Amino acid sequence: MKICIRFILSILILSLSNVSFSLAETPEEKGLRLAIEADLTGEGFIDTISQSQMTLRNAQGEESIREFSSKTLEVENDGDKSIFIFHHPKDVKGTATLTFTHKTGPDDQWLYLPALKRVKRISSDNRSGAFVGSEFAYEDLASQEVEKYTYKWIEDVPCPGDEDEMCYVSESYPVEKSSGYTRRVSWVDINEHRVRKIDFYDRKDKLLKTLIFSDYKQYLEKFWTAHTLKMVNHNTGKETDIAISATEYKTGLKDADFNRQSLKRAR
Amino acid sequence: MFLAVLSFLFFIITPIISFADLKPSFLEYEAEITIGSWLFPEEPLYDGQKQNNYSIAFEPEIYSEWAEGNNLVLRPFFLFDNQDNNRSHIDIREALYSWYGDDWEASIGVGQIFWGVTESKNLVDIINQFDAVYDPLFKTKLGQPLVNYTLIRDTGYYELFILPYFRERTYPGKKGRLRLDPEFTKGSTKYEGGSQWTPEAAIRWSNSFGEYDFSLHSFLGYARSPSVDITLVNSKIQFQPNYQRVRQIGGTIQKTSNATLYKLEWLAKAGQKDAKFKRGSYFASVIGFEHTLYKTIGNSGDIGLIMEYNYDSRRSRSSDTLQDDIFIGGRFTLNDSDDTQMLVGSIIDLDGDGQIYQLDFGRRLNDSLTFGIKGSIYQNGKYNSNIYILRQDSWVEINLKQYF
Repeated sequence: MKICIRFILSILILSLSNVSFSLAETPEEKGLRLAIEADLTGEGFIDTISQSQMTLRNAQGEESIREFSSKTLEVENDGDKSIFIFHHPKDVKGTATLTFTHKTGPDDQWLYLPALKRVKRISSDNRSGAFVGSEFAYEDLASQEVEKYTYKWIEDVPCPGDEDEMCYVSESYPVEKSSGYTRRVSWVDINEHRVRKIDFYDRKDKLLKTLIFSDYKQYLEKFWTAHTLKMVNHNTGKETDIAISATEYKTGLKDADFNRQSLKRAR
Repeated sequence: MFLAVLSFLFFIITPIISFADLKPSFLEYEAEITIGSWLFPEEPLYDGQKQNNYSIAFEPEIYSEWAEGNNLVLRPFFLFDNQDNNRSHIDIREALYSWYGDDWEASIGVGQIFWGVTESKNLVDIINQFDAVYDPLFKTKLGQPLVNYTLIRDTGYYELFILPYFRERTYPGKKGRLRLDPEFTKGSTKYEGGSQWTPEAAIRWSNSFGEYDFSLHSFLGYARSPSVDITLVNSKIQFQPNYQRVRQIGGTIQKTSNATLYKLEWLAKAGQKDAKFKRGSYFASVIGFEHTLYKTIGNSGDIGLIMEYNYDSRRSRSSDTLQDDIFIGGRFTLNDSDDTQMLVGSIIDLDGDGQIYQLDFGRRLNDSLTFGIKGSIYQNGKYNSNIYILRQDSWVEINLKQYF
């Protein structure tokens, strides 16, 4: 009997502590858990190729167009490898970058300049710099590794622009000192972990930019990809749209497609 | 010489084309036309020289692939100059057939190879000759006939080059600026070891370790810069370029840490004659750094601060203008939608042999048109030094480039 009571008590205590554990999940822990869950939904893509068109629009509405393609390879236990190739405008055609993203520490990056046939190792420190004069910073387009941020869950609300879906709002704080942001606030739907909107706050914690994702399509019954990205800079009134015209997963890219020799061949 | 290159091309390209008797799976044409006015504010110094040059350059490119793992690129270059017949020239910048697998690449034809890391000068770039008459800033190269094999291993990239034919440097003619007085006598070039067809070879290794990038190379062949033979013909002085066979080893190191790049290029060379016609061995290096201040112009413009020291153990006997010189430069990148960029630099000789100031500015005017300004000022050169010879030849070039 004594043993029985102790057994029941211990179960009770255990289950109670379990309850209290889940109740005591701090907003930071919940934010990290959600980030890991979101990351897992994107895991296993192996490789992807996409073609994109970027439209830069200034406050007067004048537009200029950039076209580029990208190839990405998933790397086990480290960040992804990727190649960006520019197609338009013509004076930058053939310019390409090779990036080895690392979960911790700076990324390795090389730039290929086709006019000189020069492969130049460049610093990845410029993560906050403008990508080809657009409102996107390099860090906005880089492979998003969980380890590059710390997190905090804020609340669950209806998704912006899609009231039928529920989103969790979460803040992420960049680990790298060279980031241009103090924090990002993201709206991500609870069902599929699709990012709907991100607000970017600059180093003075003032709202700098808003990015809205739309036209989600699902590939291989798993991977959700937004085909339209719209970035608005609240300081300058400038906008940049990215339209992804074609995406393919599991195309059979190999590690050998991501080295300095293949960078020189990239077209 | 051009005919020789053409025939060489014909012999290598024809069998490849006929072998690959297939319709290309991918074919792409493009072209550039550059209109340039090359202006000299000061009066010409030497007999026969004209004031300004106007030129038009045409550079089409054909790229094709037949199957996964092989491609052919053809890129001829045509330049017409209104003053200097030597400046007007035709070149084959590239005519290269390449095929590759996962861990190797082979190519044959005419190619362009870049090995350097520094900004003021690239000592290690020995494969290609410079198109000095088109680009006095020494950034543009002539196509080099070559056979290349590259192996990719975990321990690095291993490259072998066989170069069957040597390209002579382009020099201005009697009417051109930026030359010796008198100009090099046409057809007087001497090649030690026979002819331009005396083969050359190079090997190279390169790899990255964390934030360090290393390379080492060895080269056997003609020096890319000639020594100058002075002869008397009909009691008139003549200058003749003379290319010596040299043996060279060299390398590069770059450390990429945060916003600062630390760079070194070095070489040790034997067999080249110096400015005093003495043959010997020497050591040369370029060492320096580039530090970028991000977002210092407006919201997104960057300023890169560059400082490099150029050393040559021959010192005043070196035929290279940069032999004990400091290069201080600024690279301004606005990161705007027009890709506005400017590089300004000054080269200061530490022995008091003058200064060179350089400018290279470029921006996009629309999707297929770009605008550029380049220039150099040569001043305070010691009597008979390279800079002294060019003392009236400071120049500015304004160009428009249309892409098709």
